[in-house]
Amino acid sequence: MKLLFAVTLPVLFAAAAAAEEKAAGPLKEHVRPLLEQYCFDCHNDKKQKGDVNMLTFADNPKLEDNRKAWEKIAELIESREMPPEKKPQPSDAQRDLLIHYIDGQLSKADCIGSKNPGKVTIRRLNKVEYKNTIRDLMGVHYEPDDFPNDEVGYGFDNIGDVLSLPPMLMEKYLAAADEIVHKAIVVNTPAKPAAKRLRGDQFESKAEWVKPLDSKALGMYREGEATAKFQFPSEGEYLFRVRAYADLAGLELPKLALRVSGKDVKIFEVGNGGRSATYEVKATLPAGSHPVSVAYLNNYVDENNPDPKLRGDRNVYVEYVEIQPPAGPAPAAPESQKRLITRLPEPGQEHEVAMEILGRFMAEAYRRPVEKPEVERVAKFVELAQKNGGPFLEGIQAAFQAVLCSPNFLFRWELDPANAQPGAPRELNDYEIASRLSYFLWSSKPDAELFALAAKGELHRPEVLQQQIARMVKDWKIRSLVDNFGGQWLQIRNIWDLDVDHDSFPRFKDNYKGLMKQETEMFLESVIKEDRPLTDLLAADYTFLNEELAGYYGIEGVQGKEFRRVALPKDSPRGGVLTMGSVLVSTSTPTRTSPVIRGKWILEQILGTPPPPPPPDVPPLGEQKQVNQTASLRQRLETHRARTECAGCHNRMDPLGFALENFDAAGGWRDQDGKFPIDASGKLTNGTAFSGPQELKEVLKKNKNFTRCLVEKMLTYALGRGLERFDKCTVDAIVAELPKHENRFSALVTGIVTSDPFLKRKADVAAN
Amino acid sequence: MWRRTERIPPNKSVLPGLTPKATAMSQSLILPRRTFLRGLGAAIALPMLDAMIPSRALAGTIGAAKKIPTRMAFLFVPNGANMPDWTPTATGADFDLPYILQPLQPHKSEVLVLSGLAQDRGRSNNDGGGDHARSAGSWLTCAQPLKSEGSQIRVGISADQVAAEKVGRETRFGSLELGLEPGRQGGKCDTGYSCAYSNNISWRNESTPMTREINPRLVFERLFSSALPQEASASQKRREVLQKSILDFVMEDAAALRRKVGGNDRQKIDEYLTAVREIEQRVEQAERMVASANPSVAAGYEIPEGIPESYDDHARLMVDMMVLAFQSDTTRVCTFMLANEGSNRSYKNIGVSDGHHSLSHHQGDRAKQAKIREINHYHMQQLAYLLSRLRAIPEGDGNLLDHSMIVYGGGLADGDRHQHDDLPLLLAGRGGNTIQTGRHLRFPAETPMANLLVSMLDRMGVPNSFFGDSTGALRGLEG
Repeated sequence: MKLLFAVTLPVLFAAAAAAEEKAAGPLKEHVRPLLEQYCFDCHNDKKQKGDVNMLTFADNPKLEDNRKAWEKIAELIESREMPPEKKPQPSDAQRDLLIHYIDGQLSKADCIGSKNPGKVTIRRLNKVEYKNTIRDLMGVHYEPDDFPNDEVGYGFDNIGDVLSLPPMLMEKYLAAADEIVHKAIVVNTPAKPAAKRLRGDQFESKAEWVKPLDSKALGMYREGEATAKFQFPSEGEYLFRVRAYADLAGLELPKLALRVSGKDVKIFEVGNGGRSATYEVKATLPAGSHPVSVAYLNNYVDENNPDPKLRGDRNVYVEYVEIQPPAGPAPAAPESQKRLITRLPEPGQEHEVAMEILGRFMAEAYRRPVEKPEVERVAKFVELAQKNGGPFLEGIQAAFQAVLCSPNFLFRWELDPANAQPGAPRELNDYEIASRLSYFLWSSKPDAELFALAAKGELHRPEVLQQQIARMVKDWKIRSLVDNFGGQWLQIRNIWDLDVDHDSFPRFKDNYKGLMKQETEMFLESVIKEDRPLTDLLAADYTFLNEELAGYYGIEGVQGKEFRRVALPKDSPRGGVLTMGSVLVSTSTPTRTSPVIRGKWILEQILGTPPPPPPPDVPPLGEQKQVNQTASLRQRLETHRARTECAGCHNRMDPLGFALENFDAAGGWRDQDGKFPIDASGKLTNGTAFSGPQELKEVLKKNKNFTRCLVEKMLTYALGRGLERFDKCTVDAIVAELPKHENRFSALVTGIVTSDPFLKRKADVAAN
Repeated sequence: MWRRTERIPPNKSVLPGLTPKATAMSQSLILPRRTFLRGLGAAIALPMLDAMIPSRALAGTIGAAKKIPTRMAFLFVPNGANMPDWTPTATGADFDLPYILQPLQPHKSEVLVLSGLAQDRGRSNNDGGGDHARSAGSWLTCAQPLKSEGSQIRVGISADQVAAEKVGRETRFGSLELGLEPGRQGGKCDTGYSCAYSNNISWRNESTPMTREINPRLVFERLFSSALPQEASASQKRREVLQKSILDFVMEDAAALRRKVGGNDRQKIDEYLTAVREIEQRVEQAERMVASANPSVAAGYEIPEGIPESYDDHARLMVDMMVLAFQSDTTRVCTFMLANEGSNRSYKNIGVSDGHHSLSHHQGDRAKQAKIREINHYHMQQLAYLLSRLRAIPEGDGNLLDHSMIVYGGGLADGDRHQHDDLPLLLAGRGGNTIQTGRHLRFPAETPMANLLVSMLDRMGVPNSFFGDSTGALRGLEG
């Protein structure tokens, strides 16, 4: 039945386009009677359930005049929320007719004249984008492990409306900025190595009249020398501090020599009335282990001198010798610093140089040209730091930190110019396009080339966009598209959080999750970089394996840990994403497969035709109807499908899932499920019969919904918003263009990037 | 090793001998909540928010007899419960403990089992499927989540955040949000609803969920690292001064951008402004040394190393964090999701290898129901651990549990039918001797769960009889 309408309706539309009176034809003949039968009862002049009176617009063939109302009607009919359960229900065919008519009429209006490009809510950088942007802006690796996961909407975690900013995340941004700037810029104050101290008792002497006291000071009672070994770490000027006191006697002060390698460095006279004092000397010395000595040079003893002033015993006590190594060379500036700090100011130039450094940095961080007053504001941080006694670079660190916390950096802005007409589409400027492009393909900021093209005002030109896409797709950064788009489209990013029950699958090891994920990612990357047809995603004659995973899959001849491209044998059931371990595990429960989940996954992620949610309040299978647990899974599900309220959807989901039943919940191949042999045959609702994974892949490859689904998903990801009904004509146009380019990947990206929603936006109704 | 040390000294900062009613705060000088809720525009127009800070917090109250604050926590479990093993057959004080409640045996006199409450806003109400997302989204907001995969995330402020707005300015952190599962990184959580609804029970306002922290190390550092005494170098001090100027700077940036945008963009920048504002307030509060806070209780605690492998260890570390936060009066409001709604994790440590959500659609299968019951029982053990920890901490003439209100439960009863009434809910702790525990209460069918929240908010000093679909306070909690 469905097919019939697909053929007949466009004919009706063509007729409708001829003249307006005629346009009323299909509405009057086919649509109005259905509305009359199922809707008008509650939505008429007298009774207006939900404040809707359909009679006020039901006869106007220009549906776009009442767009909101019609869109809502189509939505509610599609989701089966209307008519309400207790009221008479239209048949599936009647539902289809209404939906097709409304969509068709509205999108026809959408696709001619000025299209509505929609509006994307400002997007906060998500976790991955933040990490990549810091990498490309600062040249620093920062792992935002501590950030919470971004919430997901429409299947992706880069949707502007869903990316919220709770206070906890703001705290993390502040801390991250602090860590990042200190990683990127090392303030150039040479570190002073710690001084080392040789205590008096660490000096050794052969003379018995040179010996340590209980206080650990070295007592020197007659001429003599004491020595300690010291490791001089580098060549340079060392500062010696000798702490000593003395018993004074006679006319001279005690003379104490400091020697290194036997040579006098300095001879001190130990005075200070005999009290402790520090005696300093500097000496340039080579690196290495050298003996450090103290020597007492002028002993004096005369206990019996008649002159009391000359009577006495002169002694020296050395408490310690402290050695301060020379300041080492300043720690090397990291690579990032050389790029960010182009020059250091001479005295008096601080402001000028700060403006220069910050102006360049802010333009990159904010991804747009910046104006002088903006930079001046940030330069105040440099002044502030210097006022507080910090060095110039500490001020730059502070300024960078402020920039990294600014909403100008953390969000991607598309501010409408003052003269933009509120609500009307406007073209994005070249900088805005640069950001859209780079965050789409690289999950990061634009690089120098994109900025340069934006500055010249050339980026928006279709041929330039085309060249840039070709360049960007080949860049290593395209791996972000694989991880983020691919990982979320196929829903394999969560694979580490999934449990596989080891008792049920003893061959499976947890590290296989990582191997399986890698297989899929390398495969996606190959399709992108080699610009292969999109249908290769479903069925390909190669994949990427290492020995361990190949062994698990039962593919011979792969040795070693390295992943490499492997040509698959002709009869291999693998090849293409559907039969990769990552997808098979992700669509199973920990202990068993679920053909329902796999079937639903195919409908949602591969064909983009999700089944409606299960009707609310389905009564559970009554106990008497309980199928014997000894029945096979297929038999049990067939019982379920026998119920009319379940059949509609399960007839669509289950056969697709059954075709993959030869793959167990851990992604391995099997011929039996317990004691039941696998039956992988199925029949689509349109009667197409198939059996096993190979035939399933062929059926899916031929299904036009596959490319449409990919277009819809990737457009959602590229825009960062859910698709609206008015986006249908954009999607239609891209889908229609693909076969002209053999469905190649580049055509998909080009179609998206050159579309109106990507290059334009609906100007804001500016806030007052 | 992340093992904790068990020595936690009793909180010596509180004085004994207070009357229970004293926990309610002075009402003077506090702007009505609505003023703040009107949106940030209003908040910024008001010169600072000092007028909203209770006078006691500003004054510092050194030497004055301190009132023992009431704490409020919500522990959430997903996918419903096997109700026959949850609901006691007898009501009143002489109630029985079915299998799921058995871990509470040592705490029977400290809990109030609440049967018969319903969360109508979790129901379809013409929104079709998506009961899991709705059950979590509506749990503490009592608002119907707007069905949207992302274009419009709207539900409502949650009860814990209403309380946090009121009492949060007296503590370093307004509230604490804990969880054990990260959010999904892609894919779908529930039909037609963004994952934000399934992964969060705490909502700062109608569109901003309060993201959960799942790493105990980060919770500890966030709560205590800056509060614990440490040597501050000159450059560290310069950094602190700097942070304040950065906050001022970004505030100005945000305010300037805000003037240029409308619609959802404006709402996003308001989120940003709110976040910055809250951090500023925290800095200010830290400087004032909020009088009641006693972060030294955390000093003897070994800093957790990260997320432990086992669920058991993970859950208990998080419970410890909550207890430390309450004990030190670092916050008085906490939510803790023992798993996200719709979670399909398995619990192999208790012999359940199947996914929780898959099992919850048991379709009457006895074996599956038995496994659900085991999971329910296991989660209940985590609550029992929390209660025993709280009880072990003397406070005033009682213990910390006496001054707490801990709600435990979920937004679905039977997970198979997505039933939104007769919810599995219980309340532990005496709320500062305002709740007579040790009973099983059965309320008339369809009594809104919002009534429970209203009664609790009342005890937090927020008399607010119009929360969600409430029809008034829940009767009979006092005994």
